[in-house]
Amino acid sequence: MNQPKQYDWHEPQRQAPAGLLIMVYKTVLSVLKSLWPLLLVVVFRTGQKNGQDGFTWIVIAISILVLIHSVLDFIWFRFYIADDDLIIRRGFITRKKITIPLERIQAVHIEQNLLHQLLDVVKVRIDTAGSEKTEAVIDAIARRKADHFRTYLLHEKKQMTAEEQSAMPVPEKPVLQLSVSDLLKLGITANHFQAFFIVLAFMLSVYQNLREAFGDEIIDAVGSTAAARSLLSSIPLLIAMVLVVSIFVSLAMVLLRYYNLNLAETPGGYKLSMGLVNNRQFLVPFPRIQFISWEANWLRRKIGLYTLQFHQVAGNDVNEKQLVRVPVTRQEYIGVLLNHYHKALYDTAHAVHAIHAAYITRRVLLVGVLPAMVLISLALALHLYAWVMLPALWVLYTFLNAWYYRKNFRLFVAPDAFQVISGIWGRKVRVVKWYKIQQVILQQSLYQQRKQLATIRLVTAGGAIRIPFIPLELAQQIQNYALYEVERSDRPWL
Amino acid sequence: MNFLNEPVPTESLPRVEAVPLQPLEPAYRKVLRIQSLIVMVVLAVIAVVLLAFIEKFREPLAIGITAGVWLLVAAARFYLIEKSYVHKGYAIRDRDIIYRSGWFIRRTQTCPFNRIQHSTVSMGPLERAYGLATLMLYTAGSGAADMNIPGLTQETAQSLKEWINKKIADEPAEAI
Repeated sequence: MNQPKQYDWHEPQRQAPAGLLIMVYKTVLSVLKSLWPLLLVVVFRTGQKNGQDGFTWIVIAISILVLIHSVLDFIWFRFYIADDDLIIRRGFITRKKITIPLERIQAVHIEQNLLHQLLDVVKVRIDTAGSEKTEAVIDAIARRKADHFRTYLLHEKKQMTAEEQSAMPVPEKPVLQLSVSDLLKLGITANHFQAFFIVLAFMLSVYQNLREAFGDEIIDAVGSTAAARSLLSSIPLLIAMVLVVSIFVSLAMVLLRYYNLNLAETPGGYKLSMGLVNNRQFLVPFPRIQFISWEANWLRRKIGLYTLQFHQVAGNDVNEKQLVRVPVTRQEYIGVLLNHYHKALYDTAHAVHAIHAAYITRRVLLVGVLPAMVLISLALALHLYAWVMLPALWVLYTFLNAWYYRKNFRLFVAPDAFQVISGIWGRKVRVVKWYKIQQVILQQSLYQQRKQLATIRLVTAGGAIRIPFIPLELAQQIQNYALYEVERSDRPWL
Repeated sequence: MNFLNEPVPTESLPRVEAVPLQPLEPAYRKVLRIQSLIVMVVLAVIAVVLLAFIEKFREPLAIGITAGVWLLVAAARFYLIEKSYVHKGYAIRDRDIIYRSGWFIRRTQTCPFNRIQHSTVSMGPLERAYGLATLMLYTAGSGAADMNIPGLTQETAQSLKEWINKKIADEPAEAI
């Protein structure tokens, strides 16, 4: 057993010497990421007479710069504790002093990639609530030191960890389950356009691969047979085939994800499990819910099938699979699931607001007319007069979209929460408690400034809610009230 | 406009729009100009390299167009710097910090202190030369939801950060 070493974390600490290699590696990676187009150009020009020398010189120059940069960064790096804050100083060219109040630290991660393992060091990553910002990182430090540091940090916070609290078995109350017919309904009414394009892309890439594998002559020979010709000649048939395949793909995806869905309620939160091959379990503690939304496309609205989502604190890399989405087959369920957050505001709102008509004008001009004019002039320049119709249709499409978006948009306001209904063919409803807001951003384009309109963004840790083209005065009132609700008391939003 | 009836009449709420804003340091304009200059020089170098190595670009028309575009971009950049600098400003209130920026798109961002997770004072080489710094505030808001206030003197940035940290420390402990 080794001697326990006592560290004084108030003294500025440096990284392990092996950290130098790690920093070099990191800098090389970031240089490659930003300069790869240049490197590509240089590589392709090595054929010319001066190419070889130029290439070598460039590589040498870049390597020296990288080395100097990493050495300087390494020498400059310090971290220490001062006055209940963790301070990290990093960077030589751009100097940064990162201050993290100890009580804001949510987690301390100790990680190792291959290079770390080879050099026998670890990386320490400090998380605060919400997104993990990559700067609160100590790239290389001896493992023992890291463990001591983590213990010290967590001890200083004096907080009960979540694991301790959930050790006891808790009573569960089942809320809803999905039957097979529910799954079928869900699969058939899914958004097939996505699947359609995925299948199309997949088939195109398969076609490419076959061409490469069997050679063009064979593919052409197959293509010229009568059967293939009749198949390919009828475009509608082809489209129908792809559509059928994509419906099956959608169905399969829905089944894989939502099979045997089971939602139960515990005193502390919701428990959700689902999945056919990959059984997934989700825990949603009530306090972690930032806001709740439910939505349905045009078809699903007709049959009353909604997808409800609990928006929790979202980290930096959140993928689709980690979102907590629950298909809800009856309207009543929505009310039940909103119980622990805030009920819907259809009847209890103090005021209801809509978007200004200028939204339509602006949107049609920017998204419709502008690209259309470019495309039309291009078509005219290339003498493709028949194609002029398409951009014109696009403008009409944009107009209809903007018209219906504006017509359907509603903002319901109440003292402790607000609700936003939006959607063109489908509908999406969001219910948000004011005090869950993290910050408020009020924006005015030049056009909006002239018309006394504004767009407001209310940012929560689970996503931002954007309300476009409302009167400036209303936007300011919303801003001021939201800040009031957030600032007037220190209710935990987490 | 009847926003809310009760319990707090909106007329008596503190109003962000009524707060006088502190402008950024005038030296920051120089930093922006020099940064723009560096970018334009790099672009010019790339244009010259392209001209030297690719035959097609040696016609007078191509050179003229490239030079014209370069001048236009440079002029636009400098014009925008001047215009938007005038509209940049910040203000500290008792419980939050306000930062306004932008001319083309005017943007007011407000960050309550009790939502700030951590903060960073950052100084690039140009900023250091002029004694300036940028204060970066991080909240738990998802997406690009951090506040960056550039063009502060180093002392201002430091003392702002300490003020904010003190406000955070004064809160009752958060439950998780």
